Amino acid sequence: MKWANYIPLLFILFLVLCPILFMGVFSFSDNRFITLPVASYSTKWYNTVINNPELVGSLLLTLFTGISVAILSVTLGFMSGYWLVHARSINKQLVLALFTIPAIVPFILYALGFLEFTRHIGIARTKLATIIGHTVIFSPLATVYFYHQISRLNPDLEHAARELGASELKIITEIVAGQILKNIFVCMVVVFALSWDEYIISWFVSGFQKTYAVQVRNMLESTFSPEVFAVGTITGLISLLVLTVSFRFSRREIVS
Amino acid sequence: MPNTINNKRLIQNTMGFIHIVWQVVLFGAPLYFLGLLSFKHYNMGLPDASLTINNYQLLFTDSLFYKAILNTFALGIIVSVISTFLALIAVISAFNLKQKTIRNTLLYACAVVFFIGLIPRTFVFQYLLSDQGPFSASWHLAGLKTFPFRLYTFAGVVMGYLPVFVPLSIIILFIARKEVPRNYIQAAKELGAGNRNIQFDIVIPLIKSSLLISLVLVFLLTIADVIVIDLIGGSRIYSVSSLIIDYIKIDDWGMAAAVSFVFLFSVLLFLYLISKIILKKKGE
Repeated sequence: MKWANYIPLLFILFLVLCPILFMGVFSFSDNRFITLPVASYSTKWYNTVINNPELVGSLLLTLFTGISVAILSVTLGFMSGYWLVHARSINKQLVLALFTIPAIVPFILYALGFLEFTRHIGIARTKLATIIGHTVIFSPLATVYFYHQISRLNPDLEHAARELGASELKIITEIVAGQILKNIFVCMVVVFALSWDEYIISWFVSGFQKTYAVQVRNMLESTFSPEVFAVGTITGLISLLVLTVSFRFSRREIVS
Repeated sequence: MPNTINNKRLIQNTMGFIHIVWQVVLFGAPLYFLGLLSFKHYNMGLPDASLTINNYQLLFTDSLFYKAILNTFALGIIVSVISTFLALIAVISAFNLKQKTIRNTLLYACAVVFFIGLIPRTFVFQYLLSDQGPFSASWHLAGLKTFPFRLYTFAGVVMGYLPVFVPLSIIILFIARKEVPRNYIQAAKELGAGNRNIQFDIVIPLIKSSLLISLVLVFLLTIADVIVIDLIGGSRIYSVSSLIIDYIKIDDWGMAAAVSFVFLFSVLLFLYLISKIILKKKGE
């Protein structure tokens, strides 16, 4: 009955992968309009992407935003995760649930309130606003992740280091963080990828300095161009590369 | 030694305190401003000085708002159930196969797909579901009449969400399925249990909490989405997100905030009721 397992698996894989496969094919189409079968192939849309300063600028801005958000979220998540593991006389599950609220509130609602807030503090429509907005919604995921990772560590190592006279800073950075270095990297990659693709907060607060997702959406709203597929394929390949590297790091933990 | 302990506590508490302050200020304050904004009446894009409940009065008498709320919740529930169900089938099928390579490929493919830009992916899917697309053409070629998942229909929007959220559900269930002890399954097999019994009596009960996480997460992400509903649903399938964006486009920030606030409470109430039902069932 092997086929009985293959059929649903192949169907679901097709459903999941078909938009990406078609995106790759259309990105090499010579024609401006999407048709199947593709009449002739070329790399002209890739050249257009490279020569589009607005698009390249938005990609660089998103890269900068993503890296900043990843660093900030991981730092905050690690700090709160570490505190939660060691905290006494508090309901840890309740505090953890409170920490996750920003990640479960529909982003569009937060984005609207956040824009109003940034107007009041004078950072509306700036890079900083986008970075803060993304960090608020993605750092809770890092908190939950690090809480679980740090709670799995052997506390005796920390005690031993303390007994031997290590400073608290050294214990946190070398003993605790040192043991979960791989997880820190994986968490950074995940947060970076989430920030990279986030649309609604960026749409509200990024202003004239548009992120990649906002730029692509705007391109689709005006006149359609297969550039969108080319840029989608390029970013897809970058994601593939980054994820392959992070998978290599975490392979032993996730995949047997 | 007491100094060391005090120092340790001080540093640990400071670490927690920083993130708590961060969340309270940067998450709490925007929500406060959202609430405040919902009591402001906007005229030609400018707010009146005084606060009013006009926005809420207008909202509760607007049939479009109820339609949007119903559509959003219906989409959230249907997409989360179908995505989780398909993911469960995929994970069970993958774990039934002896080759670990296929199993790992599934996880890898889902992880990669999940992080590839949503907008270009959805735009491709918009073409695939259109009347000129290959799905519709194959449907007609098979002699069938109207393609049920075409663009700008409710079924089409549900279909549009599946390639987006099935990978996420697969990742969640895959990790949970890996945690199921092999010796439980081995023991059941030795006692003569069939594959169906193993899945229904051992695997599914053990991954129940992950099934729940998948359902809730996909539900929350679907109701908050603005991309798929816009590209696949167009103006015919109206959601709360579409309503909020439409109000923003006409510079009525007060109405947009009022819709947001009511929606926020509806979502929290819905999640509270669901958790009550689940806890009650557990109690029984």
